[in-house]
Amino acid sequence: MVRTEVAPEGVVQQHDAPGQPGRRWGTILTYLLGAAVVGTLAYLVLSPLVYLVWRGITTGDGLSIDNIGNAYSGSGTGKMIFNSVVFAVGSAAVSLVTGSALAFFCVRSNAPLKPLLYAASIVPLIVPGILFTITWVFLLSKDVGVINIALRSMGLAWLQINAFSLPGMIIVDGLHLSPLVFMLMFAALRATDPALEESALMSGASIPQAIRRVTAPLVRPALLGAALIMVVRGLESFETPAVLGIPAGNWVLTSRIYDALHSYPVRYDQAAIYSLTLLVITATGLIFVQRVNRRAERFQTISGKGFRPRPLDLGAWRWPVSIGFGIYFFFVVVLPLAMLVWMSLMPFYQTPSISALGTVTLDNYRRLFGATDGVLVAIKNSAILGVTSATAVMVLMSIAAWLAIKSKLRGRQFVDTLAAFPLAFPGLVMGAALIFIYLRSPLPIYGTLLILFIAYVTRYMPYGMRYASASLMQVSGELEESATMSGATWKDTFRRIVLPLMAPGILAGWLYVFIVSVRELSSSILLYSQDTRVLSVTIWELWENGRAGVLSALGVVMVLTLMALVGLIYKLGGRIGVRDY
Amino acid sequence: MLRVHELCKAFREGTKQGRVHAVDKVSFTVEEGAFFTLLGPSGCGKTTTLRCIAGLERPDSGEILVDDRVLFSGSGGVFVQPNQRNIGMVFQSYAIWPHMNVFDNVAFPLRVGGRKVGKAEIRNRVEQALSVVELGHLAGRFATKLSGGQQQRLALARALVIQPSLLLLDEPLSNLDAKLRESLRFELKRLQREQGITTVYVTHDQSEALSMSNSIAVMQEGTISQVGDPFSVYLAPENSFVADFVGSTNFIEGEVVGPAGDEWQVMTGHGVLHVGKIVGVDTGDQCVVSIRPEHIEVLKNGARQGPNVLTGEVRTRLFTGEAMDYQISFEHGELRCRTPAAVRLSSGKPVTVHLPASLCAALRKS
Ligand SMILES: Nc1ncnc2c1ncn2[C@@H]1O[C@H](COP(=O)(O)OP(=O)(O)O)[C@@H](O)[C@H]1O
Ligand SMILES: [Mg+2]
Repeated sequence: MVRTEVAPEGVVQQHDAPGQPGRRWGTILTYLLGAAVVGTLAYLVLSPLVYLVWRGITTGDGLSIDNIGNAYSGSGTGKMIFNSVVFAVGSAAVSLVTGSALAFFCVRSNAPLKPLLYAASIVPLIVPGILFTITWVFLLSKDVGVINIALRSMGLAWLQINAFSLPGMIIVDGLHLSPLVFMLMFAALRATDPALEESALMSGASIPQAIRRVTAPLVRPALLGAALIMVVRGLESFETPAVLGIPAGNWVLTSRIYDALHSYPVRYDQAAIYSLTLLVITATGLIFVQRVNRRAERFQTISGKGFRPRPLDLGAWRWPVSIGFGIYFFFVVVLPLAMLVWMSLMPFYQTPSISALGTVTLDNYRRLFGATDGVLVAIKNSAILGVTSATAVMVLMSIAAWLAIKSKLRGRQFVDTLAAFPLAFPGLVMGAALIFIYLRSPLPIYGTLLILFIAYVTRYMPYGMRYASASLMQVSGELEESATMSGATWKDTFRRIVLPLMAPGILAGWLYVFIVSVRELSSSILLYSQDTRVLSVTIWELWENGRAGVLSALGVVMVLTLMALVGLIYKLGGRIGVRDY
Repeated sequence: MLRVHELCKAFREGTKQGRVHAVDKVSFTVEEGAFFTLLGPSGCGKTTTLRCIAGLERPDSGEILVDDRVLFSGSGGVFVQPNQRNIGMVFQSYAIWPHMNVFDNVAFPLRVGGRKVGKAEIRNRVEQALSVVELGHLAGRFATKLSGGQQQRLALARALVIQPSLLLLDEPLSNLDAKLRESLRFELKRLQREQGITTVYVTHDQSEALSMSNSIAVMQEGTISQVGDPFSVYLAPENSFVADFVGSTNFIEGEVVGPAGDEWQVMTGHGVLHVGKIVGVDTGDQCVVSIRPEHIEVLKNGARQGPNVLTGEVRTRLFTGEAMDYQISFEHGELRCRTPAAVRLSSGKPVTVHLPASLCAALRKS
């Protein structure tokens, strides 16, 4: 029997077959879907940009560059720029040194206790920035910081660092960002074929020589890329400059933007100019990163066969190195978290001591669930926003990833670029831009959860895209094709092959966006209103009101929840190979 | 039975505006129950041909028929969807679904599409398919936990469970290591014969093709260079491409002088050579004389005169275990020659060889 069949759209047949009605409908549907997604993306990404530029280059009397002059002529501008640069470069240096050292020893050495090393490297990133900074106030504030007190009692007063100073800010922010460097360098070191190093050894080089002449040049592009990313992150950082910088008058760009929008009279123009400045710097930085990464990829050995990184024998240095990292672990992970727990059990601030143990109480935890502090409302708001943003991001990005990878639409690379663009938007800049858009917009969005939702979705699109495309790549063409050859229709193939294979990755992406949404502070701080406080904003306000006990209790609950969720991501993400955090 | 007639498939080239004619007017017929191999260097269009038969690519023109059912006809506007073709296929990567266990992988084809097979029947047929490939004991194991050879057999069971009218195999052994590859060759051949299933096999490995096939099509740049059984492809190549690609051979350039009895004479750098046959060339044409290394006779005690006897000097020798490979240099070029391992000639020594005319052929240069 001869049958003429009409191809279903999409899964298998991707060639144009003119003149067949079913195919044409499929194609039209693909185009409509593409147009809808690209339209949404473009609106989310481009509208803040356009409004920001517009706001920056107009005054009440039309086009003008007066705003720029006004913003930069005030006193303290030079100091502010200087602070921003020193802070960004300094914290990048701290995170680069600690992060790459950890990564190197974790991947390439036979140091004992490597799992501990790994945990030490990741945990700081799990703690929300605002909490991390606040715990360091307890440790490093000039008079009552636990570490400083300990140093003084040991007669090492000269080693004291004041958290509320530029060096203090640099150390705290650097330590918070070092896991990111760890992740990047971990991947780069893993991707370097040890045979390259071994052949250097066989050529007669000593181990240090091989590392210096072969390994180092091979990972140098990755290191350079990481350095650029870290400087950009340092410039964007808001929590540390806000908590540690503002009280001591150490202003940077981000805290200035916050101040311009949060103190009377509100200076919209100034905020717009500072935001634009920041945006230009971060966008430029990220373009350079992309260049560098492309160069780095050239060095990565592409081979089907996996290779195991060859551990370097540290010899007599095995234990000293491990003890060094143990100390790091103690200071960066154990001590801050222990301090948080301690504070949450105290009725009022006391330096840890045996005598203070008598006052231990669970009052702070009880207060969390009382109505007075609005914590419950904040939890509800954060949960709503987390769930809706994560869902929206993953749905939108799954379609976008499909368009970019599997469809044959023209201009599909554009989807990728659009989805990646928000990486260049610091949270505060996004917040400021959304204020400009919706403050006078006829849509009654300003002051509702919806504006926060828009901010989160836009900011976390790039991460959603990464998870979605990684899990889509999982489903290689042959897996689908062999289903078709087994007689499956495209619906069968989608439901029984594509969907189950993509699900873990999509779920991991969903959890990731959920977590970062719940932690988000720098956009929320500009966009929240009386009724739409979220968790991070609540922590911020508790801090401003000096309610360290309740804050710590909330922090403990949050960190535990986040750790559980991150554990889940690792389980799921490991399966699909998305691990960068 | 499979019939492919004047199949064409071109791709738009990504970077340039041009088109790549991946498959260019390919025709062949595979008899019922035969093992047919498409052999050729990488990029010659083997996979594309196979995917056209499977229906995973839509050919530009031509016809494909299985058991007189038209699966594709460019002029008739017929294109049967791949999931309606009842063809079994084993992919190069095996395409084992990682989220299913061994049993579910094999059962999948029985659970989807139009086939409504009862539970008991599914169990029966899957167990039978698994026992055919000797994986019965691993039914509950997760598919990703199998070794390379086991994955290959699982992919085969999955292709066979639908009792396909045609089995397509795309370099199914190329991901395995050498030892396993050889033992699976016999296995695959045995299975194919027992099941009596018409098979199209794609490979770039000539020894695989020669050892397994009933019939071989040697492909070159999208076209079929020669079709025939393994013996004729190896022993009577029709052009220099086939002679060179299937096995190794010596080429001696020359010009056809004319017939001499039931042999032909060819003028070469080594003087006039007698060849048993000419293919695709005639008197006065440029040609190459092809002779396989193992067909060259080494005359140890030298003293023989006559046509096709040359004297040279041993340059290098290679012991390969089953044979000795010699490189012998003459006044006008070198020849490779293979002898049994027992024949030992020393480097630098003069040596006389004989090229039996019946095993020499003058071929068209291609
Ligand atoms: N989807 C495609 N798009 C463009 N060119 C292709 C595509 N598939 C194959 N080709 C080209 O067609 C030619 C034949 O490819 P293929 O059939 O895969 O060769 P083989 O399997 O013999 O190695 C190659 O030049 C290849 O680059
Ligand atoms: Mg191929």
